[in-house]
Parts: sequence; C-alpha cells; structure tokens
Amino acid sequence: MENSTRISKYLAPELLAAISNLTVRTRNLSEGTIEGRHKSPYKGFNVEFSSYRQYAKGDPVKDIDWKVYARSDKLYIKEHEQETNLNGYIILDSSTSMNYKGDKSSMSKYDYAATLAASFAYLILKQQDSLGLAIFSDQVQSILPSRGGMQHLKTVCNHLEQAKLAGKTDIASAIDTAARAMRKRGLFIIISDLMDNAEATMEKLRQLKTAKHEVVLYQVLDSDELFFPFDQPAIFRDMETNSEVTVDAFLLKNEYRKKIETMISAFRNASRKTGIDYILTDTSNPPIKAVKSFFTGHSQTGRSR
Amino acid sequence: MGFTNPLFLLGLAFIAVPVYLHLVFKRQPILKLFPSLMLIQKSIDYIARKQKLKNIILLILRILILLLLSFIFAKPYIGSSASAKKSAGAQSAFVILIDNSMSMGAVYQGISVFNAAKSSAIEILSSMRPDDKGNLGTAGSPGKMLFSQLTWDKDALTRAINELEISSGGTDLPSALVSALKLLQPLPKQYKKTIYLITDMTASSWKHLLDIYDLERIDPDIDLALVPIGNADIPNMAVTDIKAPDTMLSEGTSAKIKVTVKNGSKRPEKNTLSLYVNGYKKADIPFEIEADSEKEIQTELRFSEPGNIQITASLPDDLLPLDNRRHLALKVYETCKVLIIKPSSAKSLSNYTGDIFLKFALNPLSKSSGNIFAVESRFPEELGNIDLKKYKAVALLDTDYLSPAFIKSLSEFLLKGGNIFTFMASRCKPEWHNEELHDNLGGGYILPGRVFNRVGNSVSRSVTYRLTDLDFSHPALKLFEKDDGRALARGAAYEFFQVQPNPAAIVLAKMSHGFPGIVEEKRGKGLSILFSFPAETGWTELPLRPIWVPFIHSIFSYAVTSGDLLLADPKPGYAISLSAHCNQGDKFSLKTPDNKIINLEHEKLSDDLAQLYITETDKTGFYELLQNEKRLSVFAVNPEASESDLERIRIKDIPRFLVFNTESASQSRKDAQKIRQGWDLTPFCMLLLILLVAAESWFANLPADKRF
Repeated sequence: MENSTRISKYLAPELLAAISNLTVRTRNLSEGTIEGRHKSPYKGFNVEFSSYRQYAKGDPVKDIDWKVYARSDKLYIKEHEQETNLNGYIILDSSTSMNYKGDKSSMSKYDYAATLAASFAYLILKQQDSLGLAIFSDQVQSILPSRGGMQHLKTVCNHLEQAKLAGKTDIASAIDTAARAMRKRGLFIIISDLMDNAEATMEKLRQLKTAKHEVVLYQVLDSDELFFPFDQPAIFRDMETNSEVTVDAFLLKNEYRKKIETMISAFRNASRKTGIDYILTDTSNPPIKAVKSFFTGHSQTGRSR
Repeated sequence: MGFTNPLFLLGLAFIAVPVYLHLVFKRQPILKLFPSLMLIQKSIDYIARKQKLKNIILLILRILILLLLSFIFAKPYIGSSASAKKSAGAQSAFVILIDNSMSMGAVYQGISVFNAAKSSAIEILSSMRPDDKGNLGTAGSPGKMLFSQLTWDKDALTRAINELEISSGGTDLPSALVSALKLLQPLPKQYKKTIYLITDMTASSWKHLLDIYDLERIDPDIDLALVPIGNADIPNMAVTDIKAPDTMLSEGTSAKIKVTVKNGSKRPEKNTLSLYVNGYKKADIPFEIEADSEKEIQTELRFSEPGNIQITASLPDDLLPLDNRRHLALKVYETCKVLIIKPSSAKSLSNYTGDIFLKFALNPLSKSSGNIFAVESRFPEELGNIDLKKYKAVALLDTDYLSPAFIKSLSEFLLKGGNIFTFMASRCKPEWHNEELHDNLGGGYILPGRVFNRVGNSVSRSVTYRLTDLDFSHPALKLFEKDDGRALARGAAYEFFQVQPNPAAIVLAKMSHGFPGIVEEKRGKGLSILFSFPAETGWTELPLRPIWVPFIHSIFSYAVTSGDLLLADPKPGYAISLSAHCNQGDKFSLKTPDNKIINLEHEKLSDDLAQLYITETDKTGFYELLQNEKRLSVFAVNPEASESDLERIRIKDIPRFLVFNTESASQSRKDAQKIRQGWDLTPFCMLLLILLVAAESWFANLPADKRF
C-alpha cells in the first residue's frame, strides 16, 4: 500500500493484513446501546432470557412474570441478558523514556506502543465498537472521547502521531483522568513502559477493575532495558530527568537484570491477583506479535498472559 | 629481620606504580542515554561497594606482589641471635668449646659421646667461610684454647678437633667460657661472634657455672650456642674415693684402706671391688649397693716392708670405664726413732716422770717393733757422743742445759733433715734458750722463735688458757678440723711461755689471749716445732686428755714425713710445682702410667734445692718421680670424682644459651647456619608470591556476579 493511502504510519499494510481477521472480545460484559458481540452487564428486558429470580422489594413491578405467578402463586422476576457494543479505552504513555530506541530495535518504544494502540483502535472500530484514547506522561496530554465508526480511527491515529514525548511517567494520574472521561464500563488497554511507582500503578489498575472495567496492561520495554547488554563503564543519563550515573556497566549487568526481573515479577503477580491481563513486550520483536499476544494470551517474552 | 642484598629493597619504589594506576588512571566512561535510571540507581549502591572493595583488595594484592619481589631479591632472613641481626656479609668469629671431661668418655648405645661431640664440632666448622675465623677450646678441666689466637685455618681447626683426646679431669665451664669471651670481646662490633659449647650437660658442671656466673650479663653481642650431646642419663658405677685414714704407715703394721663406690643407676646393683697392691690383686670384695647412692668399703692391708706402695681399687668396666679405677700411692716407713732429752736438773730426781706422757703418746704399748715410733729417753749428761743420724726426731722436754757440742750436732741434725720438738716448762730459762739455741748458732739456730716471759700462774691456776686458732689447713692439724679443735681446747693450760716467732716461722695454734702456742719453722731439710707449754701435767691438763695421743702422733708423723715428696690428689691435666733437694748435676724425670719417661726441667732455688714442674698429668694412674733414675716419690692421679655423676641438667634451667637440636650431627651445621644467618625467608616469600599472583589473577578475573 502506498504511503499516501495509509491511514497512519502506525498502520502498515502488512500489519493490517495480519490483524484484519482478528476480533476483540472481552471476557466480561460490555455496556452499550448497540447489540452485538459483547454481553451487557445489565439484566433486563431483552430477547435473550437469562434466568428467574424471586421478587424482592424494590424490583420494578413491570418485570414480574405474571404467567409464572399464575402457575405458582409466587412472584418471580424474569431476567434477560443484553448484547451490547464494546467501549474501548487506550491509555498510552508518552513520557520521554518512551522515546528510547535500542540498537536491536527497529523503532522507539513510543512508536511501538503507538503501533499497538493504532492496531487495537483499528480492530475495535472495525467491529463497530467505540474507542477512546488518552495520551499521558506526567499529565494527560490529550484525550479523545469514546466514539465509533472508522472515521474515528483517523482521529485516533492523528493524535498518536502528533503526541509530544515529554515529561515523566505518571500512570496513576492518567488513569484517574481517563476513568473520569470514560463513564461507561469498557476495555482499558494501557500501554506503557511502567517506569513508575509499581504499587501506585497497580493500585489505580485495581480501582479500574473494581469499577468493572476490563483491563489489559501492556508493558513495552526495549531489549536494552530487558537484557542490559552493556559492558563498558558508562555515564547513564536518565531520559526523563536528565540525571546521570557513572558506573561500570559490566559490573552492573547482573544486578540490573535481577532488579528488572523483580519488577516484572511484581507486575505480573499483582496483575494475576487483580485479574488484569499483563503482557510484556520487547520492542525488538514485530508489533504484530504483541497484538496477537492479546488474543493468544502469551506475552512476547514467553510469559503467560 | 635482615637482608642479604638490602640494595634490592629500592625495588619497593615500584609499589608506587599500582598505587598510581589505582588512584590516577581510570577508564573514561561513555555517555549513554537510558530510559530510566530507576533500576540502575537501585543496583548501583551494592555494585559500588563491591567494586570499591575489589579495587582495594586488588591494590593490596599488587602492592604485596611488588613488596615480595623486592624481598626475594633482597634475600630476607629473621633470627633471634645477635649474629642474625647483623649484615649477612659480616665476618664471623667463633670459638668451639668441646667438653672433653671424663664424663664425655661414656659410650651409650654403642656411640661414644665424645666422638659424637667431635662430629658436631666438625659439622659446625663446615659452615665456616673463608673470611671467618675461629678457635677451638676444651671445656674439660683445665680448660684451654688450642690456638693462641683466632685462626682462619679451617684445616688446622679440623685437625685439632680430630686429634682432641678425652681427659680424666672434671668440667671447667667457667674458665673455658671466660677464655672464649676474652678472644671474642675485643673484636669490632660488626663481627658475628658465637661461642659454641658442646657438652654432655652433666648437672654438676653446670651447677658450678650457674652458681658463679650470671650468664645474662655476658656481652649480648656474643651468641652463646649450646650443643647438648647425648639424651639420656647413663647408669654408671664408679670408684669415687680411696684413702688410707692413718696419717703414717709403718712396716709391719696394718693399715685401713677405705674405698667409696657410687651407684648412679636407678636400681640396686651387685658388684665386686678388686684391690691391687703394686699391680697384684690382693682382694675381691663383693658388695651390694642401693640405687643412686654411695657406699664405703673398708679393708685392712698389712705392709711388711718399707717403701712406696701402689694400691688400685677397680670395678668391672661399664658404660663409662674411665671412673672404674682409682689409685692410691702410699709410703710405708720403717719404725721412726725419737730421742727424748729430759731436763738436766731432774737427773737427781729418782722419780722424774715428765717424759712419760710423750712416750705414751708415741708408743703407747712400748713395743720395740711393729710400731710407728720407737722412743728413747735420756738426760743431757747421758748423751755422750750420740749419733743423731739414727733418729728421726729429737724432743727437748723442759730443757735447762745442753752441752755446746751437742747443741752444735743438734743444729746439724736439724739442717740435714732431722726434726726437733721443743716443749717449754718450768725449768726452762728464756735467756739460755734464746742465747744457746738461737742467737749463738747464727744461721744454724734451732728454735723457731725467741722465748720471753711466762704467762699465767700454774700454782694459783686463776687463769685458764686453751689452744685456739688452729691452722686446719696444716697437715699436722687437719685431723682436728672435724670438731673445729674443741677437743684440743678442752685441755686447759695455766701457764706458758710467751714466744716471738721468727720471720720465717708459722704459728700453727695460738693460746687464748692471742699468744703463739705452737710455732713451726722449716730449717734446712728438717723441721723445728716449738710448743710454748710442756708435755707433762705441771702447767697443762692437755696430756691427760684423750686427744693427746692423736695430737702428738699427728704432729710427729707430719714432721717425720714432711721431708718426703708425697703429692696428695693432684688433678688430671693440672701442672704440679714442687721443690726437691738436689745436688749439682742431678737429673729429674717422670715415669707416666703408660711407662713413658719424661725428663723434667728444674730450676735451682738454692745450692741444694730445686723447683720442679710436672705438666704431663693427663692420664690417670701412678706417676714415679725419679732423681738420677732412682725413685724419689710416687704419686697417683685419679679421675675427677664429680664427673662420675652423669645426671643431666634440664635445658630450661640454662639461661642465655641458644640450644641446638642434636638429633644428628648434620643438624648442628644447619643450626650453626641458623644462628649466623637466621631463617632464610626467600623460599617462603617465593611461595607467598606464587599464591599472591594466583590470587590476584583469580580476583581480577572474578566474574562480576560472584560474591566475595
């Protein structure tokens, strides 16, 4: 596909070809007005019968099944399940650290994360669900309300391309802001390198889960961050704070690896306990693999979803 | 610590290299952007601590490697000896003292202790370098240096060690040590000075040294090295003494012989003592002796003829054979005639008994033969032309008159070897005595002093005098040393003559109040002894005392035997000096126990007196002194009795000495080397260097994730 016909630089034709037959489904119910693939969390008057339950004080009288009453002389409420549309929310980290691109990687962490975001936006909008987008660093840079239709994909991609990479990572405040903007329950796809306070991050994600949102957490890391392949003494400069540390990388390597293993394990374990899908991605791998991980339930690094 | 090549210590300056590299040289780090330092910061504290520690350890290891390299080239050594603290190139001066006393003659488990000592000495000598100098001395008694000065001649020293012979004498560690110190002390400070003492560690010899010497005060610049030979107490039986208690032996009389044997073993022993007289066995005396004790064995021998008698007491040979024989040289005299001259004024008295106490003392049973003394008593008027040559002694009792002719012959008698005893009593007139027996005779005077007034009063007996201040070192009075002269002092005197001794006379005893009591003077070949009190009971109670007989016997025996050359107990190896009467052209010689005749040089003291020096007394046995090839005297040289005690002193009781390990003779060379150079630390440093290099190599390449 020619560049001029591309929707966005993050949606390469090969990628679109590879994911076009995928369908985003949530495990739990979605809240929406369009009947479709996603179960609604609301029981009510609809075509698909769900179950009876005994009438309780406060239930609407109109929901009482009078035929059952006539047969059994007991008041039962007839419940139905609704199929509705999916509200997807993508929360994307645009902190300075996301601008890192290692030697082994073909793109920066942000480009990789944006590619993931664009891919999910395509998939969700393609199946007539609605999608919102929040781009954040230490504050929310831009936020798109949740909408449906393929025209919205262009808007999303524009936002992704125009995002400025600056500031530190502050996932907690971004989630707060996004959650306030997105009133309906839905699917939260958070894409970040998670270089933030792990406990604060997980606490916010737990709150999303409590609010009945479906949460998928993508941790995007460069291969350099995962494997620390440096052997020389170096002055390491923090891309977010510009602070520097001089150290013999050779000596640091093993200790660093232990630390990042610890951090990843902490996120994975906390996610498992909370019911959040945690997917670790290495930017040296093709983004399509990371997208498919959502569906296969396996992270790119071999860790289970 | 010292260094053989201290210049190589300049190499220590290279220690600055790793310090410089450590402190100054650091690799320049490259700038690297990284998404977040959050994890790096968490790791960095631990890593920094680890790296700092590693760098310090590596720095220390590298400094130690350079330090050791410098040390190895400088050849370090350590040692507690004074020599080891000096420069390795300094000259050594040493004295090897070998104990050649009799106890070293023991043979234990087939190995001669003395030969082992010589082997050790040769091993010590083998470490001598061309510029070292040394001397060899003996620690046997008398100790002596074999070379007058320190010598560089190693071959001569080796020969001297090989030719060294054991002596029968005792150990004289003090004199040997002093001789060695005198040689080494004057040397300059830079010399390494060592005295090696090779000995069998007998406790008796060391006790003597430790009693008189504070070894800690010996010049600390001189190393004292002790090479103990032998390592066990050797069971030894010895004849430690032989004597004839009687002061004088006479033909036809029996003489007691007392032999002391000592058992140095830790268990009781049965043995047989053999007695030989003039080379013929006279008796075998079996005896039993307790462990670690002495026993006196007594026997009697009768000598029918006068002359020199050689008695040997012998035990069967044991591990130390040198002390199993002991010798005694005796002289048996023919009966000595004594002429007693009574006072002239008593001739008219039919019952004069003034001489009976002396007669009784000299011949109690009035035997005409088989007695030491035969006594004849006369008044001066009865002397006539008496020939005094047949008498050995003349006793003048209370004399108040002698004819001038007799006085003259008496003077000649004295000068030619006769003995005159003068007892002063109430009839004596000091003026007559001084004039006739002293002043008028010129050089031939008889009395050993001039006589003055009487002291005391024998009638009133108001003041009592006693014999005091006895000269117990005098042979005549030695007998009374046992009770400190108290028995003699019991014989009270009430009156006596005041005597002024001649300048050449000696006072053997004094009366209380300090006046001379017994005065002796050697006159020519004879002896004149003056008693300031009588030989009867008028003025003194002494003749009534039991001590009277041995007192008179002892003094008369001494006098009649004093002209004989009887040498008592000369020590082996010691020179003897004696005077003997001689005529012009007389020749003296000595026949040694191995029948060797040695001509003796003599020095004329007067017309008829010569001074002789006998130096060849190393061997034990009988020595015959010959004058013109005629036997003049016989004396015996015996081993030192204290050497038979082989009990060893504990090493820890000996201060100041560095003690050798003497498991083998070759060990002595190593120990001598150790004293001179200390411990060579080079091999140790090399081993340490290898370990350090390995450690540095391992540590420098230690994987970063390894904890240390």
